[in-house]
Amino acid sequence: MAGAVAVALSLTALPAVAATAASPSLPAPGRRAAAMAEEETSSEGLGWLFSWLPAWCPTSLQHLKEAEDKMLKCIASTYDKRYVYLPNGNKIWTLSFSPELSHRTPLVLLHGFGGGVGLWALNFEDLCENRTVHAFDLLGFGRSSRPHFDTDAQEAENQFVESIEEWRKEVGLEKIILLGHNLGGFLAAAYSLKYPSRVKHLILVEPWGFPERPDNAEHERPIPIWIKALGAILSPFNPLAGLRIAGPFGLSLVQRLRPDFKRKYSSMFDDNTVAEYIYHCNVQTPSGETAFKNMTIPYGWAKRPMLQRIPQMDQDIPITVVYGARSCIDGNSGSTVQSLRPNSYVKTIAILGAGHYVYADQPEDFNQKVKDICDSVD
Amino acid sequence: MLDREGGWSVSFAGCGFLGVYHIGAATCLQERAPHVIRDARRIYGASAGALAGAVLVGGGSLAQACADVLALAKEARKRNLGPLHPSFNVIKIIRDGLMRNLPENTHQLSSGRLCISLTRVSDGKNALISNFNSKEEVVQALICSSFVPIYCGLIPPSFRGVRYVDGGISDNLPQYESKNTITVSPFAGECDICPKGNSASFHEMNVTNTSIQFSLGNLYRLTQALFPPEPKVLGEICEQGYADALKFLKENGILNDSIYIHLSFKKRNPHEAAQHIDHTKKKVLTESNGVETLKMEALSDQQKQNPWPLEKSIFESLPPRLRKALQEACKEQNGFYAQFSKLFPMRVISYLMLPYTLPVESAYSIALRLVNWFPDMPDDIRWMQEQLCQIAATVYSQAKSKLFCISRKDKYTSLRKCQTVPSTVEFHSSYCHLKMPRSSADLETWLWESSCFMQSVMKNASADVQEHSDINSYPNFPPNPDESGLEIDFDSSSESSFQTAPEY
Repeated sequence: MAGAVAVALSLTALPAVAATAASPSLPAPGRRAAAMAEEETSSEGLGWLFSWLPAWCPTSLQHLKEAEDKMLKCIASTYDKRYVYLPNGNKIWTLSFSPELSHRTPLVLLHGFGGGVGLWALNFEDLCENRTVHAFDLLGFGRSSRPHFDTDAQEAENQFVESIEEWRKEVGLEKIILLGHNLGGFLAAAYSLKYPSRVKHLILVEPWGFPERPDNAEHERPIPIWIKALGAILSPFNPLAGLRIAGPFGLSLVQRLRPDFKRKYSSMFDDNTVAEYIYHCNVQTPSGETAFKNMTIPYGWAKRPMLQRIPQMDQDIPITVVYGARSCIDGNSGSTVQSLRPNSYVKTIAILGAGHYVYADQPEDFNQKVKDICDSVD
Repeated sequence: MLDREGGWSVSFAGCGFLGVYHIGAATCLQERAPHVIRDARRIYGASAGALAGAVLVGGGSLAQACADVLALAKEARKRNLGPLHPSFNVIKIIRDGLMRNLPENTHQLSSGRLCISLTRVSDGKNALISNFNSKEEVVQALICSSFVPIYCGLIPPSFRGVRYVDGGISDNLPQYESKNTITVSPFAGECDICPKGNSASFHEMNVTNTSIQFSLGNLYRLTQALFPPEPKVLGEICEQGYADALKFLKENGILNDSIYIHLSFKKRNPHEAAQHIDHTKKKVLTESNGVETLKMEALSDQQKQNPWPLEKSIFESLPPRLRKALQEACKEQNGFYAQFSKLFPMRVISYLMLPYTLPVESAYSIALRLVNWFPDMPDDIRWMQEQLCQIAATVYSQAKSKLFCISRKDKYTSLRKCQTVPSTVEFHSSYCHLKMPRSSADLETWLWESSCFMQSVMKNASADVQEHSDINSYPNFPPNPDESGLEIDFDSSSESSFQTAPEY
């Protein structure tokens, strides 16, 4: 059922599928040559067959690009933006700040579920003062390729982790400070488990998927049967399927449901730039989103919780957990990680007045804390 | 957490009947860390949050407030239609309860400290009221803040001559964005004091500043906000509030147990205060000596009185008066009639009788409301007249502008007929993307902006009269208007002239 829904929904953004399907067929040398230039996507292949149909969701990669440009236009510092082509044909949309400061360990930012590089708009300038900062759209999100992920949770996670490793190789970084928010935090931890030699410091910002689903589901107040039934009906769908179903009304849906994003970024924009960016990021073919769904069990818990695996992590990797004091994600993960790694450096930082989007809620505090952590590395 | 220099505030979210959560949380703050409330710069609140804040700051009794809310919930559940039954006058019950509970000098206590969030009816903007001249003004502001339109009535109440409705419509959690605000909300979400759901979902929505996580628990809570559950469930919500506030205090290291006894001396009722000290002593005694028997005895006493299914530890720690209020409210009615009316056939009969009993009951309660309305009647009627006048004026001006438009159109079409020039309609828009000319993106924008489109057509039509020489400059007429569902409302005479114009 879930698969059928995913197919039905992906039909709406067929040109984008065609674009991603077309790119792996590019010859390798041509790919390398194009890697340094920002490439426009062209809808080739089967796209012509369906392109005359009116799209239910008013989106395209072009829209996303425009929305991202709007998000980033207030950034004064100069930066490189480019696609990094991975050996398996996928491309990763990458922003690099202060490339000249490469003598210090670079900071790599992994965004969360449903986000993209644009959401770090409030943080880039501060973070890149002393070192190079790279941010990229995770595979399956934002402007990166949206390939098909394996339905198996472990395999999907591995695909994400490999894409990060290949990206690192292509960009040519030896060691990195890895910062991940939400899903990015989970993947950063998974990456550090697999490639411990590459990570100098792991910063987990409001990481998703750490605790195990508690068994005492019955302990909560009893919920009426009709609400449970509703939950059961909705659970096979992708988390953001509603946004795609809403079609042309999706954008105003984002604005209605998340007016707080506008407030978070109000120092930069007083229009609906952020809502547009989030909308165009998420309304395209669900690829990373489907992978995320396959990695979860209801409601929102990880299939393979990270806390079970964290004791196997290399003892030499220092970890800092940053969380917002108001967030729904429990800050206790930090202290649990600490107790699971008794011989390693683990620090928990709570940022007051911040919710789940710590870096947008209290950008000054967040940037200062992250800079302090980075300065402690080198 | 508590910044001494900058000061801090406490903000309570509006939440209807879930206000008992606030009462639980406020009780915890008052008993366990009274300086959090005492030294707070402001206490903000909307709707039920404002009620809790008013009781907290204005010197009312939280236990009494809890009993009032539970009584209100019982009243709402008494009839077949629940709170929608015409005889359920929620505003009157709240007003009476507040008048009883708040002391006479409550306006002095709360002026400058209590901030009540209201929504102005005239423009839908938020207003924060924080100074009061009398107890009546405090109560009236609270009534305005709690007035959910339609649910509570049709004519919005007024405060100092201005009509206001529920503060939750414009700002449900005032000062949410401030770092130094302790936010309290009964919905699981991004708040300092809120229930932590059994869901790890980070998807949430934001309703006028209140963040509500997407979870089944919250969906259930939303249904409970206006349609109260059983008193027992409300009691559990109250306990949850107490437990969450306690957790917040512990996590932030502001728990202060020594104040507990001080506070009990401050109680107004000497008899109750004595009881309170007694209880405190008893607690200290049992804990220090490790004599469990006394505690167990008390516990078993309670259990005999009324079995309490939830966490015993929290229930134990609830202040005795609040506990008593909860227990009183949860007590089943034991009378013969109460038992009798609960039987299944009786309930079926009562539902079947609804078409006959409802008109009679409605007529009675409407008569009652009319009598209560008499003092406010002239004011309200004047207000309704004003509203009607405004609506009529808007309709008139709209109609006038439409008629005016048509006359302009006639002029325009006659001109077009003799000239047969392609229309040079300039069309500024963000949705004329060359990449996707037929996307349904335009659907919504056109829905919203069609009026503005008409205006722009008209504007340009008038410009066209003067300068129809630059024909080629504006080629972007909306692509295929008929295909995308927009019907341009030209009258039939203009259609012929349209056909004479070349296609684009």
